[in-house]
Order: sequence, then C-alpha cells, then structure tokens
Amino acid sequence: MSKILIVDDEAIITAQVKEYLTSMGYKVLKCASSGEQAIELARELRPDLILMDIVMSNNEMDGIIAAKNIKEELDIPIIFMTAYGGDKIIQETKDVDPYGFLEKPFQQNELKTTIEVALYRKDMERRLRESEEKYRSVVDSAIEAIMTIDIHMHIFFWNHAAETMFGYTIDEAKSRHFTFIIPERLRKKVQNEMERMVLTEEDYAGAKTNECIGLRKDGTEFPMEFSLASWIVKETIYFTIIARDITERKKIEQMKSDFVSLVSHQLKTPIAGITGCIDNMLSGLTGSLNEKQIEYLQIMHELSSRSYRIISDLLNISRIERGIISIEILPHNLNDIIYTAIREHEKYIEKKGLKLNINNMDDNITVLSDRDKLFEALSNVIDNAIKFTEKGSITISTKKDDKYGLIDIIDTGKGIPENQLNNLFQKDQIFSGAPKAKSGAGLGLYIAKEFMKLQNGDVRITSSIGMGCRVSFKIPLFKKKVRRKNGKNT
Amino acid sequence: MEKIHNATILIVEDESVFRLIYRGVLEKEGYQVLEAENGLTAWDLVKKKKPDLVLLDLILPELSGYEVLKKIRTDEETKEIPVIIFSVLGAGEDIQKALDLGANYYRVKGSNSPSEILNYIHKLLDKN
Repeated sequence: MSKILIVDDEAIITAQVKEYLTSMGYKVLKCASSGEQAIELARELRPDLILMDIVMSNNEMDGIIAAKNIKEELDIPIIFMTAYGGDKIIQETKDVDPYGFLEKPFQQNELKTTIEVALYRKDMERRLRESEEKYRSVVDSAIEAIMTIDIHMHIFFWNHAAETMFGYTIDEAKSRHFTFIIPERLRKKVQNEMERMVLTEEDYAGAKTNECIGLRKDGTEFPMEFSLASWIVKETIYFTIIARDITERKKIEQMKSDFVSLVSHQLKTPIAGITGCIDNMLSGLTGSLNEKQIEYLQIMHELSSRSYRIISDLLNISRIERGIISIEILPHNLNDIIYTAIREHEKYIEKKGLKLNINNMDDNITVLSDRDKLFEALSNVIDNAIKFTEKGSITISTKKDDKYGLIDIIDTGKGIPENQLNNLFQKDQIFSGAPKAKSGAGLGLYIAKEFMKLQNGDVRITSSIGMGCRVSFKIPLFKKKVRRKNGKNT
Repeated sequence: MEKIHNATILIVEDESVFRLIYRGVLEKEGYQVLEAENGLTAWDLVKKKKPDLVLLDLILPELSGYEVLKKIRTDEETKEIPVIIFSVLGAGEDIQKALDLGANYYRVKGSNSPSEILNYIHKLLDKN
C-alpha cells in the first residue's frame, strides 16, 4: 500500500483528496498546510508520493520551492495540484521535474491514473538506477580498461582501470579521439582498421582480440591487447573497447624465447663438433675403418645430425615467435633450389631403398623467394616424405601457373587420415603430444608453413590412409618486364 | 689428383674440437694450417703471417669474430684476404651483419659436412 502525503492550505481540498485516496486503497500519512510543514513531514514520514499544491496563500514558501527541497534532499516523487494551470506555472515546475500534474478540480479517476503513472515511473527509475549501479560496479572494479566511443571514435566513457592504465582522468579523456592512447606511428593503421570494420559491417560483435601498443600520458609505451564490440542505439553505432596491459605476459614470452635460444646455441656447438669428428673419420682422415666401424659411425652420424636438426627447428620456432626472422626475397631458379634439397637427401633415400622420381621438371621457373627459407621448407618436407615411406617412391615435379611456381612432392607412404591433416601445420599440436607415427615428426611442417607464408607462398598437404601424401608448394613467380612474344612457347 | 696447395689457412676457433676437425680436412688437402683460439691472437697472426685465407668463428674470447673481420677489412695490408665465417649463429641478421662487414662466405656450423668448406676455399683461392 503506497503511503501518500497531501499538501494544501485549503482544508476542504485536503479532506476531499484524503477521502478519494483512502477509498482507492492508498494510505494517507498526513496532511500539511504549508511548504515548510511539507518538508518537515516528508523528512519524518518518508512518503512514497507527495501531492503538492502550488500556491499556498498563508505561507511565503510556495509549493514549487518546497518541492525543490524535497526532491534534492529526499528524492520523493511529487505531483502538483493547482487551480492555476497556466503555461507560466507549468514552466516554473520544470526544474522540479514533477511526476504529474493535476488541475483542480479533478475527478477521482484522474487522481488515480496520475498517481499510478507517477508510482510506476518512480519504480522504473529505481530499477534502472540499480541496474546501472550494478553495471557501473562491474565496470569500475574491472582490471581491464573499458572505454566507450561513438561513431566518430570520440571517447565518452572510460573506467577507473583506463584512468590508471593510461594516466588520464575521464575528464581529460572525454571527447578525445580514442587513438590518442596509441603511439602516433600506429594511429593511422588502427583507425583504418576500425573504419574498415564499420564500413564492411563485419561481425564485430564477437569481440576479437588485437595486439597493439598503448601510449600513456607520460609518453611511455606498453604492449596491450584489446577487443572491440559494437552496439547500436537508435541506428547509431557505438563501440566498447576493452584493453589489457600485457607487459608481464610479453616479458614471460620473451624469457621463454631467450631461454630456448640460449640453450639451443649452447647445444648446437657440441653436436656440430661430434658430427664433424664423425665426418672426418668416415672420410678416412683417421686411417682405414672396417665395415662394422663404418656402420657404427654412420649410425652415430645420423643421430647427431638429427639432434642438430631438432635444435635448429627449435631455434627457428623461437625466431618465428619473436618475429625476428629476416628474409631476403630475390629471384631464384626454382629447380636449382629443389636439386640442392634433393642432393641433401639422396643418401637417405638410397638407404631406405626408395625410388626417386624426378619427373616433369620445368627448368624455366624463376620465383621470388628467400633461398635459405625455401630450401629449409623443401628439405623438411622431403625429409618427412622419406621418413614415413617404407617402400615405393618419392616423386618430385615442378610446373607453373600464371602467378606461382608449383612443386609437388608425392610419397607412397601409408598416408595420414584426412581429419588430421589440418593439425599437421600447427605448433600447438606438436607440443600437446599428438599421436605420432615416429619420433621427430612435427616441427618441420610448422616451420615449412611459416617460412612459406613469409615468402608470400604456401604449402598444403593432401592425403588419405593408404594413399600416401602429396605436399604442394606454391611460390610467387618472378615476372620479368619482357616484351610479349608472338606465338606459344610452351 | 693434385693435392699440393701451398696456401696457408688460419683457423680462428675457440672450441678445440672444431680446430681439430678443420685442421684434419685442410691438411689432407695439403694446406698449411695456423690456429688461433681467440680474437686477439687471430689478429696478431693475420698481421704477422698474412695467411691466404681465414676461417673465422664469430663468438670468440677477447675480440669477437665481427671485430676481427672489421680489422682485417680496414687494414690496407690485409683487406684482400678472403674470409669464410663459420658460426653456430644462423639467424638472417647475423649472416647479414657478417656479409656487410665484408665476409666472402658464411657457413652455419654443423649444417654441412666439414669437407664441403673445401669447395668454398678452392673457389676463393682460385680467384686470387
């Protein structure tokens, strides 16, 4: 039951209103006859609603002033009642933001409607405020910087964490273009990306994460990660950006990478030493060897070479992760590189008793690539092909289309189930102990893939159980500026 | 097969096992071999003995391989001496730095058999 306070200096009106209210089931707490008294009673009784006369003749404080005080101090909804319902009065009541207006004389049903609308509005406001407070407390206690920007990318909200992260208070940040928290050199890029998303109406609701650099007020920079989500109010789009400082994570990644790099270099030296010694012994530098000795030394050589290769792979991965692989893209004859890679593996192929088919080699393919990286990628794939083929052959061929030089490496091994093909190029798979046919498999294809990407090329694998594998490389062609010759020359 | 080379080759390498390996390969081919196990000794020997070719490691005590290479290339008396770098460092930036400083070839240690270095040595010495 809602509790109501009536304020009017005419006793006959208060009596009438009180009767109406009581009969409709409201509880009338008291009746005040002046503004001053209204304030006192409101403080004391905390009514749910006040019905307030505007002009009270025996008191200098009229209803509007009383209503202002009550609204500021107690936030109780007020409905004005007046006989003078002119524009001027309505204008004056605006400051108070009344919940309703009743022109005297009024009917019981008018009174009821006005009261119910006022109480409903008050309830909605309370709920809205609660939900806002809930949201605010989440946003404010978040560790992530949360900011909201409009279509022009101007900031209109940012939370405490954003203040701490970037060093600007919300007042300093408000209305600024959000790229002011990104170093100048990156601004254009980030902005273009955002604009592209807006224009293409890409699905940015599913917040995707980007890594970027943040800029603090004091000019220092830090690595950050941010996600972007959009929402639409009245056909206008807004973005919420959530940013996280990833300095610590980057530091740990760096340490891990440095560790791998250091250990690898330390390991490389002794293994290279062992391999070199065996090489010299096998080439007869230490005197003649009997067959058994040669066999043992060959095994040792193979093992130390394999260790060396695994360490090189680890180093390459750490370089790929740190993004410090430098490449030198130059025109190269494709077949030259392939023949070099094949030569490296001839002994291995021979030892396994496999047949090597070098078919359909187009000798006139010039590609734009980094020689060493392409060599390494090819070498890794050939090595795998031999490793996983017990009998049959390895077939290598080259051709070109109008954009790419193409290489196929086909083996007659037992193949790979189709559902595992996609995993082959992923590093996670290598370290998660995925089922492997043989030890030492895995790193090579990941590196091959990364190296081919660096050269604007690609490597793909198709296979199914019992059918062997076909690994296909594509590398951008080098296009000389030549006059077009008449006729076909292929 | 003709196996007489009068040329003198300086091996600069702090790991004795690599000195042993390369000495073996080179002596078999008939080259005279000098050894240095740190950068300073290497530079001394280059100045005094003027070898026909230097096999140079990069990570060295006293004076790094890069420093030695820089000295060789900036000294009028030694700047023409061919230098082959062999190092465990295999990153593009390491290789580029050495080539920029004037190395004639760069081999990553352990990725090829030691005798392969002979091809490069023959090429470089034929040119001279």
